[in-house]
Amino acid sequence: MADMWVGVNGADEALRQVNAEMLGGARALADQAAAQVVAIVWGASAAGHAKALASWGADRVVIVESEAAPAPEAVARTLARLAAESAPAVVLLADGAESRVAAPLLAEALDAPLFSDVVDIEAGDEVFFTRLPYTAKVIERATAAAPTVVATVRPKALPVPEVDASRTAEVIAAPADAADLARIVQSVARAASERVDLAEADIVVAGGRGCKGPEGFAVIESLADALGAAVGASRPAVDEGWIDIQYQVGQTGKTVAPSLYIACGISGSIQHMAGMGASKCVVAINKDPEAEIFAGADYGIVADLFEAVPLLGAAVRERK
Amino acid sequence: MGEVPAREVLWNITGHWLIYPCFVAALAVAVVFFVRRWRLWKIGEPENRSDRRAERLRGAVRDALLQVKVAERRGPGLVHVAMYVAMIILLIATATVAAQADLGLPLVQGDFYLYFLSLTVDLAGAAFCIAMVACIVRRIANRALDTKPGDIVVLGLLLAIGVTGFVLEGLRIAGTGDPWSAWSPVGSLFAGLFASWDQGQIELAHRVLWWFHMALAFGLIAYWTYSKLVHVLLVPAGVYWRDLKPKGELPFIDMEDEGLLSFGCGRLEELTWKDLFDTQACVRCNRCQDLCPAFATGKPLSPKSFIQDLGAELEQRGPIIYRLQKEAAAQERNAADAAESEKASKAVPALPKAEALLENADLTDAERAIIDRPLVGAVIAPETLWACTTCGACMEACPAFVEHVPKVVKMRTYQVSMESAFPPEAQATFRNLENNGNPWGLGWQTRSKWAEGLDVPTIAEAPDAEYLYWPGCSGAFDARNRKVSAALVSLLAEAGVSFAILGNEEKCCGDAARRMGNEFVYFMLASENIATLQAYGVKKIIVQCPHCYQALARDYPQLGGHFEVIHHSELLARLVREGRLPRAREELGRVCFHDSCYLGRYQDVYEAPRAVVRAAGGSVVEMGRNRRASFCCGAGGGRMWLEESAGARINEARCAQALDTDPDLLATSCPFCLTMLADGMVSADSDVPVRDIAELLAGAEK
Amino acid sequence: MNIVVCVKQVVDTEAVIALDGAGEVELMGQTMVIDPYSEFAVERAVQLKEELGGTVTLLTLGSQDCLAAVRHGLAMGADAAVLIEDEQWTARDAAQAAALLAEAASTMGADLVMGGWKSGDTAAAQVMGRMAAIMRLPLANMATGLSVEGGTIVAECEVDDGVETARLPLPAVVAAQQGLAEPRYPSVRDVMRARRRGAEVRPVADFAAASKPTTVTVVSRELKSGRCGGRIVAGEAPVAVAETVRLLAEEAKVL
Repeated sequence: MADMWVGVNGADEALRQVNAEMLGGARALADQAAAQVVAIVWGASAAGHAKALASWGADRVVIVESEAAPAPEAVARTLARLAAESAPAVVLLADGAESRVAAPLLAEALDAPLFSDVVDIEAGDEVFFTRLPYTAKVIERATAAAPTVVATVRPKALPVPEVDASRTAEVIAAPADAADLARIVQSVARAASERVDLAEADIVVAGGRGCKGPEGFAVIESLADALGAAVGASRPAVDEGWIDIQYQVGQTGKTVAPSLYIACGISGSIQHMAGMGASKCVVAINKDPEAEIFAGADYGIVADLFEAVPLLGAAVRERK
Repeated sequence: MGEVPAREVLWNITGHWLIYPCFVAALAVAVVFFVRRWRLWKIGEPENRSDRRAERLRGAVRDALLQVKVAERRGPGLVHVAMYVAMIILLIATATVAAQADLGLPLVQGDFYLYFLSLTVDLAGAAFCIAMVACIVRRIANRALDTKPGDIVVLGLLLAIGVTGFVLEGLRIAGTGDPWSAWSPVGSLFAGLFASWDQGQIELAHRVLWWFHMALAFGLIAYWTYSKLVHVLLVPAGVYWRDLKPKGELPFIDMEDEGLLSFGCGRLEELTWKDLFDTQACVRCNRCQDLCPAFATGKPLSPKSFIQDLGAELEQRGPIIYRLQKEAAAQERNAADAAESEKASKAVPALPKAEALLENADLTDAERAIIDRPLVGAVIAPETLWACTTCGACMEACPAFVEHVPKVVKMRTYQVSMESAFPPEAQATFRNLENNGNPWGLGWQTRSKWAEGLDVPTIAEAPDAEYLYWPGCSGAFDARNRKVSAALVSLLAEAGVSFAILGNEEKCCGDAARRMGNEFVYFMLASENIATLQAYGVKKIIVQCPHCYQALARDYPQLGGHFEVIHHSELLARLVREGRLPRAREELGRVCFHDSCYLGRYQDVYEAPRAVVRAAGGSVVEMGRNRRASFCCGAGGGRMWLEESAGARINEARCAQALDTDPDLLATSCPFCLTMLADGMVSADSDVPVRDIAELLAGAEK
Repeated sequence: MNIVVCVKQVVDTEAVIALDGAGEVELMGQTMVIDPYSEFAVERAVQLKEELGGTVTLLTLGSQDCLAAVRHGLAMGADAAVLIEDEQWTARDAAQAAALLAEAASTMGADLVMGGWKSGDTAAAQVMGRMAAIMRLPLANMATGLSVEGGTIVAECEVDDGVETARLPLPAVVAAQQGLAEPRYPSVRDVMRARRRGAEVRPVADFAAASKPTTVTVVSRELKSGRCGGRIVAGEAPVAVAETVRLLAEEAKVL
């Protein structure tokens, strides 16, 4: 059968873990189909990643001789040319801003189907892709009858493969296609220093009346910084003047739907729940075991936030 | 003098007939000013306020003639009644004198003369003068009264007329040596001042002063309808024209009328004539403002200023609109005549729409500036409009029966429906109501979840149920209020009441949408609810939310939905009375009861919830502001869904009032009040529990 | 400035999703709304029109039922609408949809083609990108800001670690992300005005792309159980926190 391709952004010296996850997934597919796993890697540090990619399961590593940080359009063009030459069964890309541009362009160039934000890949007679449409309320398994299928893979969804340092891969180089871009990037504002915007944040740490004062929000902010999260607040905390109204989450504040919402010292009035109920995962920290917030939380910690939140921050920093 | 007590009328006065032409002239001036006012309110939209005459007359007798509502406020109210009575007595006396002088009726003699015309009138006059002095002092001393120069002029004029009257009487007594002067004690006191004067001096002074006294009186008559004294005419008229519709009922807007191009009031003349009349009937007595929860907590809203500001705009805009309307009507008549003569009556060109009328009118720049300025924004600040909780305390207090709240809602309706201008946080609520039929936007299919495990049938499962139980959005979705629903369900089951719910087919009643001015969303919700209820043949509905009560019982009939609605407080009180629910399971201690505006002032239900509290073992303690004067929790009129950034929080103010009663418990019977007061208690760092009366009766208070 | 905005009608995001016997998502009885990402695009397009003049035309692939979303967009201030009427539209995959929309948009003389970077329902997240490829236009994806400067646009686009500002020549494709614009709430006046601007309905059969076959087969759908809530992680704070972090990483996979 045709090969299983994994597109890898090798711009940074360290590879993101999602690349390992994709290679693990591709490896499983390849093993089932007696096919090869090919990693296509581009970017400034591309050449240095061959060993790691092999250890995660790549049989062949194609190093694209691209500029340091090729535009997604250029990545799509190079991948399209390479894929047109060798017709892989599957091309996996890590879901993210780059692949959200590159994958549709690639798929269209190959006249291929595209499954975006895939959370599981199964090998069978065909390759099955699992997605979570309808704001993650539906689990959908789909397959496509096409020579090449493109998919973007959600980070942290597939299992991390075991590292086999003894594995080696054939390393070849490939030229990059010219960018020839109409879109000229003028500047990139890194969000590292500034805290993420509340409405669009992937993680939100919110404080309520339990914060007891502006000092309490220092604790909340510290956890938010550890997580790269936005800070939110319930209305009572805003009313008390502990934090500005722009941070208010709820019926009369902002509506948020992050992957993770950590509610600290928030009682969980329906007015608040209306603003964060669509969050994918909710953690509640409250010292009152009767607090209504627990009914709407995936994980509840009955504890004083001044004790639990710093512990949580420390644990998160430790993981990183 | 003879044996029959009497006095000579018009002593020392010649040519008194002159007063009649003067009187007519003064009256003519008053009529001119009155017509000017009448023209102003005439520019408003038509509305029938002349039906049910007997009821209107009864109301006018009670609250205008007998001043019952005026007297409700002790202090200034009673002083006003005293002034009013004294003024009537003085008027009768004057009329009597005139009747004798010019009709030859021998009235000024005998016991009637002694007891009434002398003694009573003398004392009434004294009381009147003292009251005037007191009023002037109060107006000057009390800065909060918003005193205008005109107020002092009116009082000063009245006082001057009173004092000159007494001086005249003193001169007459001194000049005639009146043997019955003892019956005019105050007049006699004044007579003492002139004891040393000779007859010539007295007569001259008397004659001059008499004409001066008359000049003041005629001046007052001429000034009457120009000044605030016009309230003598307008307030009784306003009382007669009071709103007899069920309380809280808003004007019906037919959303299915495709010809309707504008909703609500965006221009002053889109208010009704009665609305505009109200702005003139207001005497700035401050009763509304004193009771307004928004004003009390520092919001940019005073119901009095709201009415006064509309009145001030009417003074400027009214005459221009009156002229334009008159011109348009003349054009229409000409067009109709022309059409008649051509016998082509079908081809009458449509009357230019009001908007076009204004756009095309020939106006000076100054007039154009007045005509083009928007009602909300230039006359009424948006913050003012949106600060109102529609609690109705202002209307309940107003002795002139001014209707503040409907004006607020009509103006909001225009702002939302036509301008899409409203506090930004309301948008989520509107969308949630549209898409999911509840203000929080929770999936509509999850509405009936609260009833899981409670053994509550849906009406589809139990079509023969006597009652439909309507938990409302709060009772169905809000975790706190779900406990109230559960308590109520257990009580209904215990009492053997046959009931069922609509389940997921229920939608928000639409009260908040309507009172926030979103008539369109209200109409969608209400018509769907009515269709559902009618499809199941529902006759009787139990509600636990007074806002649902208002919508289902008072708003829905306008859309053809007629149901017998009962609030859970009324039903529970009845079930207790009938012995179907046991009384006091334990002693609850001091239970402070908070009246919901929409149950109390809107539905006049005050005693039923208190009876339930007592049945539950509580001894009811009252806040100073209770029943008709209750202080809103801050959530009414859609305020539940808006930010409260200006001033202090209303719910916290109410909780402070409750805590002053040293309660063991704070009870209410409205889900919004429950939420707001529970919140307020947390802010106040108080552990006084806040409970719904159903929870108390169900013994769930621990 | 002539802006074409692709608008999709979707199930309300708060809706409780149910599947029918065939495993399809049940749409009967559901509240259907304009897709929130489409709505961001419509709002910004209307704002640009109000600033610079021009027209905003909505483009929708769907059945007559989808006209509700179209009317909403018109009430927001769009000038005209085209509906590619297709009773089978829900069965079309993203590649087919993109082909149809691109074919229609190509005939509309657009300076700017806008739409949502994904949709709230199927979240295929590729239609705008594919349209850009088909129409050979530059793409600004996940735009949170958009302005017009002369013959070019400047778009702020969300990238993984921040915001990238880029200049694109016109014509171009812009895919909206949350934050691009705060959608307005149309007044009844707007709604009534929109009634007079109906949609031009063009049968799908008139398009060459209608014959493009699908390659995608959905094998199964099942409902993901929602948050049941109320799960308390036991133990004193240090223990509970450590366990929660583990669960977040391994079970919820959000860390």
